[in-house]
Amino acid sequence: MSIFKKSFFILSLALSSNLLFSQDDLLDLVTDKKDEKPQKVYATFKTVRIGNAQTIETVKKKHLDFRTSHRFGNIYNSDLPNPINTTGQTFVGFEGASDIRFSFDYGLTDDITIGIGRSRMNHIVDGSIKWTFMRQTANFSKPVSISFFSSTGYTHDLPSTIYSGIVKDFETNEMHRLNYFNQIIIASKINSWLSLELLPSYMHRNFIKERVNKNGEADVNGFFSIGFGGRIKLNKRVSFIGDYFYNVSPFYANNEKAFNPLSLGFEIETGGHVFSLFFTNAGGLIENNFIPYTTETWSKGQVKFGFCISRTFAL
Amino acid sequence: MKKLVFATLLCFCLTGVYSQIYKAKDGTTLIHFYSKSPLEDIDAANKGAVIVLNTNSSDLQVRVTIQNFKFKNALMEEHFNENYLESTKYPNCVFKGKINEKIDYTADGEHKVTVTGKMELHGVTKDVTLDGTLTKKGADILLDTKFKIKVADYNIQVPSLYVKNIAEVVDVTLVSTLEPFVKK
Repeated sequence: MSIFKKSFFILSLALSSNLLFSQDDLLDLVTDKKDEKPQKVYATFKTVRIGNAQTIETVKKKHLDFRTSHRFGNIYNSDLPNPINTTGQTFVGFEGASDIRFSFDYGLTDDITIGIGRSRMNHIVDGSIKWTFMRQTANFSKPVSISFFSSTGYTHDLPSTIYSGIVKDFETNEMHRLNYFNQIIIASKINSWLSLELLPSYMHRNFIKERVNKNGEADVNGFFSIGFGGRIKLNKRVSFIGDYFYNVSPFYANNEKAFNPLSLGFEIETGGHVFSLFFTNAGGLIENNFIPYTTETWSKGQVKFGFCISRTFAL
Repeated sequence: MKKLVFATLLCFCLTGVYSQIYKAKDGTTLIHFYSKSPLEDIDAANKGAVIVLNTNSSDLQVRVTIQNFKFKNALMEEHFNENYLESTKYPNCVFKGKINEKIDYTADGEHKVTVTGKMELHGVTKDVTLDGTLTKKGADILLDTKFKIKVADYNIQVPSLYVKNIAEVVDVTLVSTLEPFVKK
């Protein structure tokens, strides 16, 4: 009997403890932390490009991103005989246009974006695809988002321009007009105000003119480059942005006519629009231009004001 | 006989049935919010809220994961999470309150009820009273409520550029079916 009493007592204690809980524990009582899905990371970047560099952001499904990009002329150029005068005459470069681009990017799915665009520099029409195949989670169980970006450019310039400076009876080939760019983008939203990314890239041009640097290293059709990009959010709408590409090719070292592109500026998001306003030494607006053909440098003041207006439409 | 009592108690202990605790059944909860404004109608649906009712103490608690609000327009969803509700910082909306009316849960029937409690949204906690109906139907309890949330009350800032796109007061509806809770 005493054994029964004891066990009854223990059991009822266990039972009552099971049923005892304060009001605050109600939600915790019925939920299991393990069942909770990791939170998504939204807006690592605000749009598909930082300044020059691509981001892991895609255009949302059935949305169309219409982008108008412009790169003005040099603010200053110490190579010129009278740079201050030129700066005044060109109104800090606003007279010139190194590149003008219109592009449309469309979200096939939330992860796959296809795009077409046309750039004035080298008269390039391009098609591109971006696939973000891994998305970061807020608890860092997946610490980064990863995308693949690929773009193919076709220059519709006159053959006389494409082959200018080359012996006249040079055999022309339609394939010479094509250039390709492939990239892996690895990005992480470190916290609510800081996002960083790394962009290992490969550029290939079917046709190049002979260029040699001071060390005697010649330009090559294909080479690797590595990009770095980031965003520091200053408030909900405005961010400080920057990106840089380092070209891993001996031709780009000790060269007075080929440099690595660097851009620094600000980005303002207003809902459907994103305005990027920045300064860069790159003349071109797409990888196929600014990676191989950045011919000017920050150190000589050859910095251009650039902007991009992105307007997203829900279709 | 003693053994039988013992065994019954043991079973009861192990299954952990909380006769007075009701929890929302999977897939029965639907929270909707509508923002009607001159320029744009915005609506989003959330199917994954946790709702618990203690019929003894009349406690009603709701936890809504902000990221579970699904929009037709994915860009709106991103802006909702990133710019307005800041869901990474404030992942949930939590309501903890008590039903003011005494309800006989042993009989089927529909009751008009008011629930008074605290709602925490976007890091701001406010005292609120919600109206709704509570229907006891067999083993289940059906909840249905409709209320308004003033966006500014919860420190959700709408830039002046978008005051015409986003309503100052959004309508929220909640329907759910609760069943007796069994701990797994």
